[in-house]
Amino acid sequence: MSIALIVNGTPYQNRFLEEEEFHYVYDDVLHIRDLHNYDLTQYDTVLLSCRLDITLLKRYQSKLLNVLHAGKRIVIFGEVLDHFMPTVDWEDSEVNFSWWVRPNGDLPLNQQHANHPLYHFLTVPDMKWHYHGTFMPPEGAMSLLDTPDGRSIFYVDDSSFNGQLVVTSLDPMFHIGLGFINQSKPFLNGLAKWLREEEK
Amino acid sequence: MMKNIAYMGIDIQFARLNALDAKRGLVFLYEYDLPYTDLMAFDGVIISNHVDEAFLVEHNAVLTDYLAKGGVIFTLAEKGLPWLTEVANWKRSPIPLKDREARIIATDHTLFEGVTSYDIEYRKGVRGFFSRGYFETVPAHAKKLIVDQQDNVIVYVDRESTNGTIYAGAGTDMYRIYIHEDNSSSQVSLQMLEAIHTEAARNRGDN
Repeated sequence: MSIALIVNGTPYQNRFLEEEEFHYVYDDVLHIRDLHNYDLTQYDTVLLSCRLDITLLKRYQSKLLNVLHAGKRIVIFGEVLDHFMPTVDWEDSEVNFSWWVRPNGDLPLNQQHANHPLYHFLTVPDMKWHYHGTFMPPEGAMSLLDTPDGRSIFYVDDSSFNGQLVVTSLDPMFHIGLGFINQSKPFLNGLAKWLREEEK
Repeated sequence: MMKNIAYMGIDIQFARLNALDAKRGLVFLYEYDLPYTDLMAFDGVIISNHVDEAFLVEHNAVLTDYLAKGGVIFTLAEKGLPWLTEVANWKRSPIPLKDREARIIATDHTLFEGVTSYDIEYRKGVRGFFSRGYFETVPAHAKKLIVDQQDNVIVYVDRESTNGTIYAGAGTDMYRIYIHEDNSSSQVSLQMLEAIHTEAARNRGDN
């Protein structure tokens, strides 16, 4: 199985790439400015790192859609603005980053489809730090983690395309690169192990 | 005459500006437009942490030329590649975030006047937003504004290395993150803009 990670060369992404612990997550690193040079359909999975340039994501939209049309998988992290990926319904959220320092504080999240294979590799607390927005999964898609208002911060869509679109508003590469929010590490490790296991 | 100030980044949600920013005279500078931009149209350029570093290495001459002409750059990037080479690379602090201090030891123009160290260290009880690192070195003639408890420099201003002025902050977007805080840190964004305007006028020789 081959996994491509698309990055934008920001300081925190560059430092994420220096983290040896996560080198197993991806096989190739592609800079988004160079996507015209690559056939993305050669990869089984394409990871879109959080915090990629929206203008360039829109420019290369057809290349991304080709991955899904070819029956391969894309995983999107973070915000999905300006409809760079059709079918994804994004809504900004107020960011609750301080719940954990308050007495009895919590960030309410509701697990869905607890028997999904992803949950063999991670737990809800691994996905709980803060989120910047939520999604309304399209019909046929499966949310794995909901906010109290019934929107999702992690869903898997096997219905809209030939391939699989995994969408999460969580942003682990950003936080690992910054060295801020330790929960992002078990989340990314769990997700990566699921991706690797899926293809065995 | 006072000019606008550019805020440079790639096009992501965290870098986009709003109506309040526009009212304050801040203009978004899309990083990939940098080679086609006359920076002299601006009193200063704030460089966010949301930049494609390799692209800045390729087009560093634009920044160098701007400084040679007396421009003002306020960088907030945790830089790790050789662009804006007058500023050293960012280094992660070994001090745990929950223990790390950001000591304001000097002000510059109005920058950090009336701002307490506590208010920049904590946001809603969470410590670690202001900075998670420091500059490996700073020019000998630089004026240090904020240091940590090991005397590593987090913010400084350098008026000697170029014909212009470089303000350098080790990693936080101090323009954006405190704007809506209910304490002294909310002044920082306006103080930054005021410092840039004042410095630009000084470099031009305005009265």
